[in-house]
Amino acid sequence: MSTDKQVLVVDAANGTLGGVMEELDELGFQVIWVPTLSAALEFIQARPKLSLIIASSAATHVGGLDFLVQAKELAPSVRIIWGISADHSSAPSPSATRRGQGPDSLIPEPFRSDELRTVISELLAEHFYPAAIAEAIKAAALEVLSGRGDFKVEGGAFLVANQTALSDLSAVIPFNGGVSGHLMVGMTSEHAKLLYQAFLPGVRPIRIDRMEDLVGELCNQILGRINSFFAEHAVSIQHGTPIFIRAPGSTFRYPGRQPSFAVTLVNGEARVCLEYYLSDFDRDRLQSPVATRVLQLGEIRYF
Amino acid sequence: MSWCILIVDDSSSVRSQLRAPLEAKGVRVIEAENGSEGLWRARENNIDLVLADVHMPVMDGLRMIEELRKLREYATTPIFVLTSDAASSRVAEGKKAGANGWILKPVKHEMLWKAIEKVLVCKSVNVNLPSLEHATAQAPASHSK
Repeated sequence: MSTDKQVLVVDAANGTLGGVMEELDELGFQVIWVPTLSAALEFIQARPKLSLIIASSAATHVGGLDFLVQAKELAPSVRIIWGISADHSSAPSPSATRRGQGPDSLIPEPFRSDELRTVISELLAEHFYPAAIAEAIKAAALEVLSGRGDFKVEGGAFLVANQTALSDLSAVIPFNGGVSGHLMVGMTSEHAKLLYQAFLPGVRPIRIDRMEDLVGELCNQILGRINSFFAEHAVSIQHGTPIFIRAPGSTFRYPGRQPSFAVTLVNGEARVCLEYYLSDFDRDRLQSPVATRVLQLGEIRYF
Repeated sequence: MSWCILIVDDSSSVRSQLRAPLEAKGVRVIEAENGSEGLWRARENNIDLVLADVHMPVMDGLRMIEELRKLREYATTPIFVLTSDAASSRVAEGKKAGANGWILKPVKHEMLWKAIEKVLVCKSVNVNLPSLEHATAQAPASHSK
């Protein structure tokens, strides 16, 4: 594992971050625990390519600002999540934060796991899904869905470990070639019905198999748009037809320890969940400028 | 208008989305779920234009186009590939298979209709399909078959 997929947790021995450490491990990070800020600094000196530091107030109530300054000097790219105790004694001063010496995120304690998960996902998503890919995924979904309504990305994108809770209707399309992985689109029956009415007005009866077919087709079209992004960078991808899953409450697991990139799109009451998974990817391939012009939406190539 | 269009797509949603606006224009629409059924429908009917997806079970769209082109009555029938696949290599395969055009999903109905009118009008006045881009300006306004 590369050293930039390491997370340092600074917490008292009986601290509250045990569950978080497990989740980070599931996302594919190597998690290192230390009990004090001084031990943390020693670790950073030895391995400055850390991704993230999560510090609980139990370990940061003394010497917090000095630690933040030194940590950023030793590891400029490291992101820091800082727990704030109820009495705010562990919070860095606003002036330090303004000088750029503050943490990347402040979270009140006791930690709420969903809040912490969201912050961690936002800070670490770039390690797995470079910004260009993340934007391509969001743009593809919006482009396809916005044909029938003004969809928006709800909140930010986040990472999901390889054990996803399934909704009522899900479609998965595996792909391979220059990169491999899968795209999954899922939604509840209720939301699928709303979407069906928007995409296929007047087509009746609205049966479960028809709603499922629409979910599969949306998955197909979104993946096609994402693949176009890769095609522009001379990465060729082949994909097949959707696999449908009706198993609400079940868990979808796949091989590998990379997390998926997840986005939720909403339009009024309709909500579409999308998870994009890359099992392997050489991010250097995106460094070069666009190599190939591919067909755009609204364009016809005549032969 | 008495044009007959064959839609070959494994997604019932796509077929339904395409069918309604085409029927509103007076087009007779025939559907098929895969390439194999598409071939069968084409043999049974007098199709003026084919809209074919690529990724389908049983027989994919490009294979179906190759097979259609072997049939004398479909040697020059306009065929559009309608797919989510934009890869240049696939587009080249479509051309090699004998398609006349490649359109990306999701497609706007107005745009698709203009393309359909363009090729069918050109065909009706015996303008060669490969020179469509040039022919459009010269094509007459009449749409009747």
